[in-house]
Amino acid sequence: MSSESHVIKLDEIEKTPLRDAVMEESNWQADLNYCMSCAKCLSVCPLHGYSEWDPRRLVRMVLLGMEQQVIDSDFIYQCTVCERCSLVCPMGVKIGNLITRARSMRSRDQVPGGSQDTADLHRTKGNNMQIPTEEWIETLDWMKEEVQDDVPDLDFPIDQEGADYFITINSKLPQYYPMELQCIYKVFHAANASWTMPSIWWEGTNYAMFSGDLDTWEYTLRQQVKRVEELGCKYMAYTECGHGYYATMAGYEKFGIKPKFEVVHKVNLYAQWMREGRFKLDPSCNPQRVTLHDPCNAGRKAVLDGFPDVLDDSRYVLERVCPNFVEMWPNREYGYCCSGGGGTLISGFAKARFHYGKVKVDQIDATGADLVCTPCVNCFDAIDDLAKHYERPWKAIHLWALLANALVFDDG
Amino acid sequence: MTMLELKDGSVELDEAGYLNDFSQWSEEVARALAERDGLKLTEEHLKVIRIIQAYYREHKVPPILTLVSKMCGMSFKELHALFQKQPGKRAAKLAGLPKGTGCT
Repeated sequence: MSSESHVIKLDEIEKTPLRDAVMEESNWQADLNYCMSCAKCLSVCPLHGYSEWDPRRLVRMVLLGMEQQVIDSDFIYQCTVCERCSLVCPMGVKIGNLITRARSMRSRDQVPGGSQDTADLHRTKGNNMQIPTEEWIETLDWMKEEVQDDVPDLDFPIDQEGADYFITINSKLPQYYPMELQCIYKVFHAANASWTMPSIWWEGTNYAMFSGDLDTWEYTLRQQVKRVEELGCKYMAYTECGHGYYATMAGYEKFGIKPKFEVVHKVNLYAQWMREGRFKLDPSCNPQRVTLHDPCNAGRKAVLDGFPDVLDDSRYVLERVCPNFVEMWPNREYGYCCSGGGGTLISGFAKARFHYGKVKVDQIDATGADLVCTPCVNCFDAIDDLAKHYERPWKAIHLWALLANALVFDDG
Repeated sequence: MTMLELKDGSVELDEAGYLNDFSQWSEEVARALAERDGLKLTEEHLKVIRIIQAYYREHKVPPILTLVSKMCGMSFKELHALFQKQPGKRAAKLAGLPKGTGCT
């Protein structure tokens, strides 16, 4: 035994706030005591082999009262919260809840990287990148004018009361990639939907969930709900952002928020509209070999929690707009993290990220694809980073881009 | 920690290749950053970079692409052609601004 070994007497463990919080959260259903130490969790964990930590060790340490060491560990922020561990756990232990709760017990000034700064901006400025309303609207209009060159009758209102769909957008689009907005405009226009772009609380992400700032997570959700309800929209069309969608669905449950509207992921909307025959398509516009990366949050984690997922619908759409669609393996619920999940894209552990990201690189290489479609802005940047780091020729692309590219407009 | 080697000395970059300390920016740094990213820096790039920096110094926030376009009098397509890809993100990086918040 090493000199650091010491005896822990279970009946002498007095305070277990982390364990109590996790147990209470699941109504004492997901009892950590059920863990049999079978190690299925670590067999699917991206960090296994990189870190000396793994989900099994995490559960053991919490059960042994070593909570502060868990809360102070790098592991809780290196974890991608992909929840492959929860999927395979034969006893239904939800490791993701444990990670999120452990993060919430870290002092806010000790959160690594930029996720807490991002959450703070979301709370105080209404979006992650402190984009002022005036500049946001200017960008919306600028992109509208550009798209009208192709589709002259395309128009949409801002803050339209009574519109069916309230659109959420990731702030990265107006900040860096405004052209992508045109794709979203085209899809909603082609579907002849009643939609509006909000001037405030349009952010379609939620980094507070990743930083572990539960208060800001709830606050930002409530502000957005308030805005959708003020406008009286029937639906909030959640953008292609896996964690933003999951943070919304899981957050409404967690914080007891009961909105008067329905949240619909945009991918589910594309598929619904396609089934209804609303789109005229020319798939030959997308001749490249395209594979699909399933985002963990809108895929596996949605399935685990019983929310509508995008697994079937992303394939339904892709198969109709990309004649050369090939599956990646593993996929669907068993899909492997993009390498940037759980906030790791900005939590400052790039070495870890590129280590386990190599598995994703190999999976993408095996498809022979030119394009990696991912309906998630976070996965998009992580895959883009992998391509740069490992000098691969494939490129990440959003589903909205492939769909918009295949749309045929009668007058355009 | 990654170091960007210059003629005389070096500067620190963060793990994503952004300059760690904005005050260390120089044209030479921009050239080296561009080269690292497969781009040959011209006076036209530097014009855009200086406009972005002036905005950042005043507002402590990187300008969004709409503003960059307006301030430089260039269309998005022109900016895209100049920086070849991701003009907003790339120009901010070459200007020595820190990596943005959010999932970037």
